Amino acid sequence: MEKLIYIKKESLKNFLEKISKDYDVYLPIQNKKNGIINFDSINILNENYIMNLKEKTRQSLKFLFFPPYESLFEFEYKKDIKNPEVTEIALSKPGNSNLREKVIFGIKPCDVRGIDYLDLVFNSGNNKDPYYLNKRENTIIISIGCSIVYPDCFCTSIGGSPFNFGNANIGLLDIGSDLIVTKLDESEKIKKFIADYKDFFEKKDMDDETENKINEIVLQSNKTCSTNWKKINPENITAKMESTFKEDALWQEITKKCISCAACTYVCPTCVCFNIADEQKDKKGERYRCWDFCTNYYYTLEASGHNPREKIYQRYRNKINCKYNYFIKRNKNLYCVGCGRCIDVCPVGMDIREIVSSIISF
Amino acid sequence: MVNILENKLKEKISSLIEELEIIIGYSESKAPLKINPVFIKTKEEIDRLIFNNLCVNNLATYSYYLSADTKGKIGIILKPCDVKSIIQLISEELLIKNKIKTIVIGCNGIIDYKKINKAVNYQKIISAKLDENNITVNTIDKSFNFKLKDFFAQKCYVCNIYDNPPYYDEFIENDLKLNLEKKKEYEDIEEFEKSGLEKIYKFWEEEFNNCIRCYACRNICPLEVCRDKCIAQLDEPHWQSHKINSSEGKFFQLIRIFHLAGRCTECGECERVCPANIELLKLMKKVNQIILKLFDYRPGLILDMKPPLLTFKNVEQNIKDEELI
Ligand code: SF4
Ligand code: SF4
Ligand code: SF4
Ligand code: SF4
Repeated sequence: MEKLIYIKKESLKNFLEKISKDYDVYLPIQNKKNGIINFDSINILNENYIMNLKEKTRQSLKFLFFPPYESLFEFEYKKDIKNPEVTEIALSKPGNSNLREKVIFGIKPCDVRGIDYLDLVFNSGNNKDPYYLNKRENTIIISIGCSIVYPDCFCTSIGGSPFNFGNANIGLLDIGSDLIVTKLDESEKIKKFIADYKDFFEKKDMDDETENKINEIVLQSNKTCSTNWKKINPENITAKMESTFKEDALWQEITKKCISCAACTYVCPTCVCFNIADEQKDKKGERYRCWDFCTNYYYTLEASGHNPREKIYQRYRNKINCKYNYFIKRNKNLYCVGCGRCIDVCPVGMDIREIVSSIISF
Repeated sequence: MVNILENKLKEKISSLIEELEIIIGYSESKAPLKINPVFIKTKEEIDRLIFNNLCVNNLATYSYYLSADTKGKIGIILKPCDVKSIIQLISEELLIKNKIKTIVIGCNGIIDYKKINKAVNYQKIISAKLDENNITVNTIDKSFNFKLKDFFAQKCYVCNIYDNPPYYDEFIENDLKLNLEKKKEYEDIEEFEKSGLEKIYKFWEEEFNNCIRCYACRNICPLEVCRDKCIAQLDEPHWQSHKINSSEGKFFQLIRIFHLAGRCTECGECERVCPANIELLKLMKKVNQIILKLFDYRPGLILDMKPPLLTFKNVEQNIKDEELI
């Protein structure tokens, strides 16, 4: 008979505390004062900062691996008085800040997918971004499937599902009393992890009751999620995006209310655009990168003063094409994980599902 | 239920639609407690228009940019307080009066959905139902019933123009009148200030830890017509660092506040849209309170009055030289 591995809900707190002795543990933590949930260190938990595994975090996991601002290096111009025509530039790179391994607990499957896509951007072929890898490597990702699906979730429409754990190391399913392990990757690292904490990973034979419960939850979540939007076929949608690209009137119509802020892109797990700037005072300075957004006027503003995407509809068209066209051509998948964050934060109620639907039906 | 007010609105719009190139109004949204701005051009679309206590958005936001993009006249459906933004834009010569037809609806207050979010402990709201005095909201596992009167926007508790807009081209009267216990203007600011500078500073430190510099607060503001020319985003000259962190967030906000001093009509849109839930309106109100004291001026009330910071007087009644040092 199939063996079931599970963590008892009542020992979850102890489990997390225990692993935090050996790892830096990050969890979805809600600030009770303003309600915002974000991934943060287990060390900040107190009566005002509480773990919340139910709802999505405001910021996706991108926040931890590709932060809004990070220093790339510092520089200093040095002159030798005896050799005034020679200027040397001394560079200092930030050291490996995180030597401890991390465990990130309680990630939703859509966010796992988001990280899988970030890996394609920052860690594939010749693209190895040391700043990203420094934070991304040595991370154990423990995901919990969504027994609750909210109205703005639509992962089932874009090829995911509330229990598709992608490249997460461990996938859990919440059946109320226990968290059932439904995915475990084969790596030595994870085998060791399970062995190290075997007191918490209990085993039993699969029984009918549990099996029914699991099936029921999976079925229900998939069903709810798929009523939130229709299924999008990556191939058809690329063709549609190509054929509507030049329909300016259509794009103007569907983007009229957009105010071209960064709310949707900054909360999106897959938006990865960044800007690089040097800032210097006297002889010392810093080169850093920080998030940038394509819905922004400055994004394409050229030095001449010309802006090829002067109007909001041109910029928003790029955003949608990036996610529902260009990325598919490179990586076969939609560059949207269906988390619905952009819908949640948009000040004027732009709903990416409605936008894409109107393009499809054009 | 037949909505008398909405019918009146639709009738009015039908009679105006021929002369207007485009009309901006409110329509239903799938998201609970929210509405959608809608842009209509044809008679067939008029039926999409709604008006209720959830119509919080200030549609004047679209006036400046849209008027640059349209040849004809733009109709905008506004609440009496929203029209203040239009007045301010016209008085600053940023908007041409004849380009805009202000269609103002008498108002019985609007609901601040962030207050409701707070009242349900920030659990996600999945559906809501509104009637005359109550609102029912459902989270995934609970149902809440609230009295509307506690959940109006801050501005409604000090409003005295709800059925008496300071300016309009068309006015649609609302049989329902605002019926709230009045609060004193800037009472909340005075209360907040009692906690002392140290606490206030700590408060803002914490608030801005969450700022992601998304510029939603700037871009939603009807008066910040500078969104594509903002000094916070310029590369050359590099006035402000582009770093995204708490201190740059605060600095950016200081720029906003000073650029809006004596212009902000306190519509509350910046605070509403902030994804970090920062209480931005407190900052705006503080500056306006000072402007009121110094210049005896409230933004957005008089069409042909020059805002004090756009003009110059040799002697200011309320500013004593010796107090400035
Ligand atoms: S879609 Fe919404 S959140 Fe995104 S840029 Fe436009 S207004 Fe801002
Ligand atoms: S586009 Fe919207 S729904 Fe898609 S991944 Fe980004 S935030 Fe989530
Ligand atoms: S401030 Fe006055 S006009 Fe504005 S929404 Fe409130 S009641 Fe209506
Ligand atoms: S204050 Fe809020 S709305 Fe403004 S930039 Fe910061 S996070 Fe965005």
